[in-house]
Amino acid sequence: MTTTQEAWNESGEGRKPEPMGWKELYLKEDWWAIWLGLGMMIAAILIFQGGGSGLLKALAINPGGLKWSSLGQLGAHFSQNASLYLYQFLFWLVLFGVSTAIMGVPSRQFIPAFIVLYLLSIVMFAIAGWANAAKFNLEAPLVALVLGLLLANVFRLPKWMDSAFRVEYFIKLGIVLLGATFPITLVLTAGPVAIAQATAISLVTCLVIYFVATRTFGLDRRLAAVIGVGGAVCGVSASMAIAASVNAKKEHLYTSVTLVVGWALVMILVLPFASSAMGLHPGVAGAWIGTSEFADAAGFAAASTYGHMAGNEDAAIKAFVLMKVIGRDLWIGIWSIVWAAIATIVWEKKETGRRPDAREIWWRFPKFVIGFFAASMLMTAFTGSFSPADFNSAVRPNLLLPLVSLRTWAFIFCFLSIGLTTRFRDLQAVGWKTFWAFTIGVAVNVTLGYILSVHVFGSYWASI
Amino acid sequence: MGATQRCCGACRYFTGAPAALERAVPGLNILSSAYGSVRGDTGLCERHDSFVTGSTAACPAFADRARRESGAPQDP
Repeated sequence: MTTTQEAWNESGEGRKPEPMGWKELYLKEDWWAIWLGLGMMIAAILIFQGGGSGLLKALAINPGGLKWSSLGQLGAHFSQNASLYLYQFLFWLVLFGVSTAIMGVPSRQFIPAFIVLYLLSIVMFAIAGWANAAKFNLEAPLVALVLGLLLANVFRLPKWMDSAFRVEYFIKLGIVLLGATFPITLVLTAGPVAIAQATAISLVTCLVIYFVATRTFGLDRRLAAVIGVGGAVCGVSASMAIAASVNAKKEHLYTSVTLVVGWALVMILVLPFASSAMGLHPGVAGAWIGTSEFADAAGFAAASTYGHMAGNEDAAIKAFVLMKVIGRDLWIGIWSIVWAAIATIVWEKKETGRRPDAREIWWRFPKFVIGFFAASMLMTAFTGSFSPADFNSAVRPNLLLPLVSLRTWAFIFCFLSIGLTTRFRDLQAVGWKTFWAFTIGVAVNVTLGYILSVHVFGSYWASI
Repeated sequence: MGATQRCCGACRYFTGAPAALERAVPGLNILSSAYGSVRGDTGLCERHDSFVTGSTAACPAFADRARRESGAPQDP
């Protein structure tokens, strides 16, 4: 992939460095999530209109809805549908294999690791499809996370396998596909509430972490900014963006990785059960998780888990996406500019190497959100011409449910990848002062998120 | 050489490739990704061990990657 590596500015081509421009369209996973998600959706619509929905259903097969009660029943399902699973595997392998190869991921590493990921995903679906799975709280996201953690830490999977465990890529594709079942009217009506709640959370959490870290514990202000944004907006992704704004040290980002990953894993396990103990409406819980979790993938795992537990996954993940993806994630670019301005204007100039640039809001915008909006608008426009009866009898089973299944595959790939990439031995030890500065921010974030989601906007989120 | 050409992105100390960044910061790929849009062109300056924006940041320690590879003498 010499060409790709040159494009990534590794081989000396970069004599005139500038933002990636059009190259971003094929070198960034956000855009690939859009191409794949919208491509699948458009192909599904064409197949549906051509009367070939059997092909679509076959491609979207999974054993999650089997409700099997004996291994013989499960085995019969796989033996009867072996060829469909083979075609489906090849479908995913080609899509992900080609796109990651273009982005520069070595295929010789990606292919064998993806085979493992696909087989483990089938196991996850099979467990979720067990008739007694709900009774034992064997929710697919939790099982996938625990199994992945065991494999990564007990059996020590080789590092090169991470080439196929692309947590962010899978979650972005899943969210674009989620747009297909997300009415654009809901996005437009709920957007202002989500943005208002996200604004309060983002400002309060970031400032609490920053001032506790610098004023109370006397920590480096660059470290404080990096972990502050990590806790307030979008975890490590936000930390990485802000690290460049304030010229943070490598160890600062490494510290943020440890804090975000540690607390995100705790939240995946705690928030669904806490929501259940309080009997929260799935929409309310989804909004709370959206304000409290640090990363899209971790939050999605928590929201999906509680949605299954409460019997209404749809409401939980819709509220989560509105709150986290549309509300909080948009703050990344804004914080990047704000911290660059603070670093260059308020702090000593010699500490930083650049000036704030308003264009960063676009450069650092999580572009896959565009795909989510496009999918929502496209499907809303397409299904608007059907009567409610036709929608329920034809569109839902033959078009939307296969897309939901493909989306679920992407999420299972993601949930497994979280566990499979989390090697505790790789994480950096964090000092107590840094730990407490971040943890106080987490406490404020979770409490404020609860108040806003349950008491201030509770009736709104419950109507999602 | 213009100012733009001396930005960190063209410096031999700059690591901007996503795979290299994910190797440099273990755990970066767990709940994030160096391949995402949010990163922009943030990279790691290995001389100062700090993060910089490849297209806009600059410093006096700039060392042209292309000149080194072509065998041309480096700036002092």
